[in-house]
Amino acid sequence: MINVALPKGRLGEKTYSLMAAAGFDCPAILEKNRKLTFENPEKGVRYFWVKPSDVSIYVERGAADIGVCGKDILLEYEPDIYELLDLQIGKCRMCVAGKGDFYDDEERTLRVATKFPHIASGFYESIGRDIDIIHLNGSIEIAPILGLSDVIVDIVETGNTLRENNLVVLREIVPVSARLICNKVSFQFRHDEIIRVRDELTELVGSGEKIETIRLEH
Amino acid sequence: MIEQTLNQLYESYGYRKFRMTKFEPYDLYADNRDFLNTQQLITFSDLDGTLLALRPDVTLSIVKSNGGGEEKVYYNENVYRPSDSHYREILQSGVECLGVVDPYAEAEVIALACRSLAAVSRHYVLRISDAAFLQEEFSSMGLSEQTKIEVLKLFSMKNQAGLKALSDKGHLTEASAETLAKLMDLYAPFTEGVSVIRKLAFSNTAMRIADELRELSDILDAFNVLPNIYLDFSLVNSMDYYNGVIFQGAVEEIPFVVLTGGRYDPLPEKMGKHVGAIGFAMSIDLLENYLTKPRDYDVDVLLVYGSEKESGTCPLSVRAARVMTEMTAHSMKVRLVRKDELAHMEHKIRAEKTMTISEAEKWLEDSAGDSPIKEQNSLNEKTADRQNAAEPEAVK
Repeated sequence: MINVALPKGRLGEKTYSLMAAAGFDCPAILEKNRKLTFENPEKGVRYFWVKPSDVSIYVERGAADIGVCGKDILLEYEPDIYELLDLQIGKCRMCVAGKGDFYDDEERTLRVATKFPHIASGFYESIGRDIDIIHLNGSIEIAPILGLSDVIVDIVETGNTLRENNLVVLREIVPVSARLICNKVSFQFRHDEIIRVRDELTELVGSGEKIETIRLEH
Repeated sequence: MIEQTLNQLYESYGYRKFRMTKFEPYDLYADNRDFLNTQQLITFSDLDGTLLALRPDVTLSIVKSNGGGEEKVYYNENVYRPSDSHYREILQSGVECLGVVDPYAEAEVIALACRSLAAVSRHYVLRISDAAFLQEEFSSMGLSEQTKIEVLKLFSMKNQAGLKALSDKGHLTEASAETLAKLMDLYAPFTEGVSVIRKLAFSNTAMRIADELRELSDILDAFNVLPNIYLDFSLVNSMDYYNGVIFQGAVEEIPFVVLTGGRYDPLPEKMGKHVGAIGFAMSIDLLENYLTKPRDYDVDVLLVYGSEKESGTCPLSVRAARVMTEMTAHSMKVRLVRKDELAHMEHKIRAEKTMTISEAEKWLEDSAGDSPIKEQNSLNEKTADRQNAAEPEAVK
């Protein structure tokens, strides 16, 4: 039996849909109840929902053998895990965004608001720009509008939120997509089971087949 | 308990216990930061003004103290390292072998690592990688220093997608990317893995290293540890210090690596000593936290003392003393508490039985009269079982 941490929300639904299509379905997860874990002993999987940014913690500490989380989380927290597969879902970009008329005055320290301080400071260090990190937990877009920051570093999916707030992408830092991650010790002791999941998913993702997203209550 | 078992193991192979001072000159660690993988040290000035540091590592001290001769030592020492933005005291056990490190010496240390893991768990895996082999492959592929670092990082995460991205960007040729992908994906029983990498060796040097690994696998087989050893290039350590085999051990019960080691000739060389070096260390705290089974009870009997009828002329305190003496003589664990203090105990005691003095007297009398041996034995056995349970599987 392998434990699978699913990120709550749309990405988790997509992930489960992929897993089910790859042959690791679990009817219990479709039932409406207050259970926290869902098992299918026949297929050897147990699923549970956790906050997306916590998936890597569950996996790193072995409470989950495998899990799915965005590359943004992996870059931000650098957990000690294996990154087995790019699932090609939840695609977006980590970007620097700001007001349309933003001009970078290099004489001044750039104020950067972000949920991803590690990624942001790493990026600006790589281009040698002095910055002042403002670590926020949400509603990042409001920071440049109210003058809290000059720019923001955040994930951009469609760009709609930015457009509605008259913000534009100034620079792309890195593309982001969901990754299948694995605990390093589980990889050794449940090697065959984990490789089976990885290989089935690899084939499915490679085939380019369109997978219907299953709606789940969680 | 784990410590003693390990010490016996190392002594049975003739390793000498290494003892060291808690403090070393700051420079020893400052000069070898890459080896330590840490920038932070607990430092302070000695009375004469020299800067000292609390040791973050034992290996450096062992190499420092070596005069160029052959040496096999083991240690159990506390080291001081940062983790989660606080300094922690970590109890480490380890083995170092200095001198001419030939295939036998390499295998002996690896076999000791395996036996150490076997001593704490029935299910363990030791993974071996070879830093020299990877380095040689990278050089034959003509990778730039920057690409090497990136590829190593991808190896440590088994990140195939990242490898593809590097080749798409033109940092790797397609052929190199394909070979590297195979090496990255490799996780195979050691002997099988070695035959796989022989086919992936680009240069004669890489081939020679693969042949040495084959000899290593024969010696490990003679040590009877081969079945638990896997070849896996996802273990990555500082390339500046590790120049040969590197290995990591894990046991099923613990989700983290518990043993790390490898061949580190460049360290003694940097310190001007002409010896080879190989060794490993285990985190004892980690093992104990996960493997020591929690006790069900703190004591066998909790004696509640007070507010009973005095029988005859004998005061309750004297009767309590007699009960305590008799019960402890049967190697039972007994805790006595005044009845009025029972609700205010600082630490609640988990006891298998709770008795008043009169009940205890009766119990002792019954067990002495009817079937004293059986009753006492069964209690003793339980105590013995519990002690065994507190130890790791190892003992069996």
